[in-house]
Amino acid sequence: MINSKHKYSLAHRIKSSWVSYLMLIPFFSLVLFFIVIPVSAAIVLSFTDFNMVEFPKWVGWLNYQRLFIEDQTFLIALKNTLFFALVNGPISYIFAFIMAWIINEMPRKFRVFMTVVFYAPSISGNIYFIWTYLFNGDQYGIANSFLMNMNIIKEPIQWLTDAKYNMTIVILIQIWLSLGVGFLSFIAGLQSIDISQYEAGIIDGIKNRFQRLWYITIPNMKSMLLFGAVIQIAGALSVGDVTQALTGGYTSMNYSTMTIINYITDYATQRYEMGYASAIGVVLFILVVVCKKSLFRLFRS
Amino acid sequence: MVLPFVYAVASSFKPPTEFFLFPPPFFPINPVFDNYKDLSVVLSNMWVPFERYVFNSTVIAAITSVVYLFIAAMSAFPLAKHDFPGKKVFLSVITLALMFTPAITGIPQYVVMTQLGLIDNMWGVILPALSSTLGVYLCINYLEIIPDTILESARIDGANEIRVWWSIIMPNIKPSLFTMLIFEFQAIWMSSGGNVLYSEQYKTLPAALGQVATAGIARAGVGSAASVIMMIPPLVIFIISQTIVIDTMTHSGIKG
Amino acid sequence: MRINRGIALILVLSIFIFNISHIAYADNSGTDKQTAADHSVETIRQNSSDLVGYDAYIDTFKGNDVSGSTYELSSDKLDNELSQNIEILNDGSIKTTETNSKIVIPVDLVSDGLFNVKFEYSTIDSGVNPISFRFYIDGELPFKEAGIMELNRLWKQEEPIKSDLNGNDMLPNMVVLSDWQKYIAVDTERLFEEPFKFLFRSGHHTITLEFIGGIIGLKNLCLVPPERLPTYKEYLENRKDIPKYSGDSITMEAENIHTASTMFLIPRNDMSSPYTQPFSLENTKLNILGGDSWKIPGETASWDTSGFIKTEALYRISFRFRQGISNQSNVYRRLVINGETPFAEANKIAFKYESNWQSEYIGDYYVHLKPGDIISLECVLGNRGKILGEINKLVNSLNTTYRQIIMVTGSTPDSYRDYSLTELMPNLLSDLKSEKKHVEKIVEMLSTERKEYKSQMGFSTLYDAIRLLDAIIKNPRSITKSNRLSVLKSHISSIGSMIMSLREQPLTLDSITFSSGHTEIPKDNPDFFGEVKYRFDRFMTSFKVDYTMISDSDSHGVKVWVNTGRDQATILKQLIDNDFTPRKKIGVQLQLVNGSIIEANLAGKGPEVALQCGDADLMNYAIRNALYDLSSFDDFESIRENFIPSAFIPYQYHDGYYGVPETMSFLVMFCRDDILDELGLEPPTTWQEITEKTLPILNQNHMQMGIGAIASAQSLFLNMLYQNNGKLYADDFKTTALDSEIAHETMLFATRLFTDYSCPQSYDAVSRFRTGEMPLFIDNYALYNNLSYTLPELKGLWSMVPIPGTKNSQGKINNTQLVGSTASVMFKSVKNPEKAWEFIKWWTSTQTQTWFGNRQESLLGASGRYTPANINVISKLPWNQEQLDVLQSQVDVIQTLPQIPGSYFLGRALNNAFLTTVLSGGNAREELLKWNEQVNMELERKRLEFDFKPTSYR
Repeated sequence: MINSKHKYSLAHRIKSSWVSYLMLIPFFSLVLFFIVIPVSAAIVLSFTDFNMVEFPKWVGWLNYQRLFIEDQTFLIALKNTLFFALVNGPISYIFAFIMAWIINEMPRKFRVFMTVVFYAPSISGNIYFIWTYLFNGDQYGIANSFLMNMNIIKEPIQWLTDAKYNMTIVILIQIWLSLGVGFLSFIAGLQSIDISQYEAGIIDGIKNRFQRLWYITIPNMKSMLLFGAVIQIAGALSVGDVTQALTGGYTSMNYSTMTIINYITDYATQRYEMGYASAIGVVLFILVVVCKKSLFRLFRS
Repeated sequence: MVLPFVYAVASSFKPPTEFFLFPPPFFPINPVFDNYKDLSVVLSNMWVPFERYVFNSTVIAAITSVVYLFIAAMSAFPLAKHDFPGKKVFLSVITLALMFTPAITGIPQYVVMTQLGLIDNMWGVILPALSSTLGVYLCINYLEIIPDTILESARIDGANEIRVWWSIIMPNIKPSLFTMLIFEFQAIWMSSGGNVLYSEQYKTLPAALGQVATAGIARAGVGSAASVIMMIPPLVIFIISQTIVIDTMTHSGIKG
Repeated sequence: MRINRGIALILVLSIFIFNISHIAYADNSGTDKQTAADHSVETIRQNSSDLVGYDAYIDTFKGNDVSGSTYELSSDKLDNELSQNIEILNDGSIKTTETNSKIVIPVDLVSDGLFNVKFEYSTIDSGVNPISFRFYIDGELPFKEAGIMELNRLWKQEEPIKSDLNGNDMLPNMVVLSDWQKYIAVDTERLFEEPFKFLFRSGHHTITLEFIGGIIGLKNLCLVPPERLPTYKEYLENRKDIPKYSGDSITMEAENIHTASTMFLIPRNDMSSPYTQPFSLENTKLNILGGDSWKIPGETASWDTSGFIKTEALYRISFRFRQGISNQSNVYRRLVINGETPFAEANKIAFKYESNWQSEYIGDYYVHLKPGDIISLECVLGNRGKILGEINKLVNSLNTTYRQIIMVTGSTPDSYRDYSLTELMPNLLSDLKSEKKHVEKIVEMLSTERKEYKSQMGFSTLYDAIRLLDAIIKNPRSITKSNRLSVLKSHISSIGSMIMSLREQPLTLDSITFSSGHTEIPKDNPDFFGEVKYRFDRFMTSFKVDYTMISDSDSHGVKVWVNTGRDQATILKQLIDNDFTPRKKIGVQLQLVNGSIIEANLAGKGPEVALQCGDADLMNYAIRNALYDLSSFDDFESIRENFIPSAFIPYQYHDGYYGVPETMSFLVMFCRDDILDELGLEPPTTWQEITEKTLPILNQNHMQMGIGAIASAQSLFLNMLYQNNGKLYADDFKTTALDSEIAHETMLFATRLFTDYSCPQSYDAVSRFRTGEMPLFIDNYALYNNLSYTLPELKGLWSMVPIPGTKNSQGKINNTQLVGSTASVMFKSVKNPEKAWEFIKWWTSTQTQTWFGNRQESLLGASGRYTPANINVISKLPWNQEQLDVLQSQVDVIQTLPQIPGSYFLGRALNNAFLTTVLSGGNAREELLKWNEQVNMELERKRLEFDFKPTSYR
């Protein structure tokens, strides 16, 4: 490390770290304008009543009060979101890692091809269409006609409308979509593990892939794994696009697939209550931070 | 996995009449190239020539991706390898930023951009994209793998920090740089700049192609062809970058 | 080991369960289905249509003597008793006095003969639709097609094409003419190349001509023996003494038409080639005619050669054109000079396919032209006519067979059951066999034309169909197995879609050149470097040209945002440039934006006027004081007469009015008349009739009625509620009135339609309408055009009627419905309200909306028909009289709902109540009450938030 903490005063340390600050300026000035300021504004808004047309009115804790004490629908959204996160999060995470690992174990020629195959959903535009196609509620829709021809069902099922089914479908689709940044970064991370570590491992008595995976690969990837987990958690709790596009989010039957994000969008775009929406956003944010912190602790072990 | 991909490509070869069938056949019954030809006719008839949209998108995507690589890597370096007052603050800003949903920051962000004069020109699309913290976070994690000893020896040899960054760090974080490239490029390429770009001649390719497709079912075939073409650049970038990522084998020079 | 045993157990269990379920199923429905099937098949046989098609009619008369003399039917021979609504003018011509009229004339023939029917007509009223024409011999239609003939109106450009101040060409208006046009009775679809031949046996006959939909003049009505056109050789022989032209090439721009048969044949701008004239890099010039808007058989464009042709001579004619869209096959036009086809080969001139522009002569032909001749090109089917006719028949017959099968088996038959199809439907096998032969014949016909059809279009579908039919014929029981029925259905759909693509003949025309054949004619395309230079030039120009559309006259123009597709925005801009700005001297800054108005307003970048604003959004802006009260303008009241009385209710808040309606869509019911006839049903007029009569019969025959997808069931519910004289809101608008008895009964009834009567919850209307398994469905009236376009083989077999109503205690039928609309709004931040108001008034005026609607349709085609809120406009769009009557009857009874703060919640509440009842078996009353409570809570919250006081709505 360049500067050690103990010997110098704060002012001195700041002065001598000028290079570090210099390198940080380009990026962080952007962050200041496009992230810090808007986020702070949003947090401030959460203490106001803002209908997006007239000037915000300060209401203090009123929004939060309403959120925690009176709002029943929020609980539904919360429940849905947590359910999604708990089912999706681990599954997608493990799925991304396993796929990355499998691809890494393959001969070099196939790797790029396989990566393309698995990353494909994220590249193609308009991915939701294929699912509406499959799970169309018409009796001639693919899934329905298949099941009816097999005599498994007699009447067509409204997959995306009926509260009994739409949640499951959305979870499936979300998992299918889950090979994104995490997947790619795992691959990048796996690539960078030093070969000599593996060689040393063989000498130390590691016999097959699985042992290699457990004893060498995973420990080396710790920081990558943590990164992937954080992304995954932030993503899982921020599910909103899929539910909105496929089942209507806040208009789904009895709010069955409404996540917190959908709820926020509802308040922001339909009800014009931006203050309340911001408050929900802040709560979501805190939720994510809490999860992240627990993840960090988990990974330290 | 590749289903939507295949479907998009398959639809682009469907003659327009097949879009009226229900359930829509997956593969075209009578594949034709007409949609692509029609696309060039439709495109050549826009107010603003098609090439301009391509130009806009390319410029925006190129500037963003390239600049981002440098900015992100440059910020990641001190955060991973230096120690300075306030480091913790900066780090937490990065991770926290990932967690705030855009639905709420949308409006304040728009107001900021208006004040900065970024509405209705390409910087209104580029600058916010450059503030994405995802790439920086990725680089930081990647940087931690590089042992400090190499850096020390370079510094002892008289290199200043910027040199260290340029000659040692950058070449060694290639995999993460290219992963970032894939991501940023795709995100910015697909973005239509909808909220910010109002004047026709600044609009991007997705916006223009989207307008073609909204003309209803008569243009469904052409819309499919358009989306297939849109997919090609990210795909190409992806293949190139992934190849570089996967082929980069760390040499033992780093360790020991 | 354990795993294996487990699997075996599961297998055994599943087989067991499958079988049990089938036995149970078979038992339940066995006997009922038998008798129902018997009954319905009987019905089919009895009620089959009596009218034959023209090809059958003509076939029966093959070999008959064709000679005959011309019979002139002059107006003094008219039967005054039976003719209706006509008067005879001094010069002997006939004029109709109402839009529906009949002319009855007796005629005596000396010998048998085949005759064409010829006359001249002119359209006198100012309608825009083609006029329906029917021809009866002795009181009966001789064949089906004689009942669906059409007379086109004649259109011309109001003024020659002019440029505006910026140098961009302005789109001329199309106006209708009342010139005389020559007409010979011909198939509307042009499936038959030659005009209709009517057979008359010798003796006394009565001819009836019926006209519907317009006021016309008629003269020179005669029966002529079919003429034979001279071949080109004969044509040339007869003109030996006419010199061949020897001067320079004369080029005429195609976009300057003399007349057209439809108002949609307008000049367009095409920038794809630098050789298209007139050319400009920076400005929009109208330089071509046609393209997508000239593709339906029968559409004709005419040009006047005056000023171009100066000497009478024989000319070679060449065109600069582009035909690159039509499946790589030829496109046909008929060449007509002064209303007559010169020689037989001119009946179908082929324009070959090529993706680029072409500049070609018409064959080797020399055409005799004099100064002042009128040249026309008519879109015809050429060699495709026969094939199309055959495919039409095939699809109809396959659909009938399919329908008959479903009446017995249902659309997803039980594959373990023996339906005894061959016993119930003795004609099944022979029908299938003839259908298979039919398909083979079509394949042959396509093959002989094959050199035209470079792509394999159509063949694979047809081969698949042949194989399937073969397999079914060999083993009729297999229809119910492995999905065969739905495969059959999808083959039928695919073959049907071939009709659409075969029928269209788009052609883009740049210019027509008359020459000697030895001089230069316009070049088709630049070479590679020329192309590259052109593209580059255009690209560089994009940095110079200002696309932000500020009209010059006023740089502080009104800022208007539209949210639609590019085509509509283009049309709007043209209208602004051509009409609004020149007349009112107010500039407009028009932007096509898909982003959020809210954000933009917050940042001060929002528009002053926004178009196509939805009801809910408008109210949201209004209650938050973002909108300008339009009723503060003096002439606000005067524009109200353009709309239905209740049109402004959704836009009223407290005492202000915040929007002017633009579009309005409502529901109608579409019926397959032929199928309803077969089943002995009439289109139902009340819901009671539907549940008592219509649905039971439909269900017995495994058919359905579409009442809307379940996801939008709330509109169904609301319509029924209002038909029952219920209300949505209480009188004080503080709560809903959904806890009333009426609401409950309506809810019960509506949900029962889905649960007890098996109305499908989600369906693709078009495909089910085509096969006929859903002969009735309710949908937006704008779908009418989509249906005509997608299902041309069903022409004449279906119609549009008002939605069912509810009979009240006095026996009167109330078929009210609630409509949705979009509106134009003005924001409070407007800088110059007077100017903005001028714009809104202009935009919603009858004239502008008519222009917009018609231009939108000509650009977007059939699916682009406009649904205006301005009721005067509806009759100016090309609906025919029958359709207009239906639409008018609905317009008379539609109502609107006020939007009150919190009403956004209503939609989802009703939806949830509905879905829970239907999908989860909830109790209708409980669900309704539960959600009603939620709505009331929300209404109260919002009422307090905005201090909403209910006003009287007017």
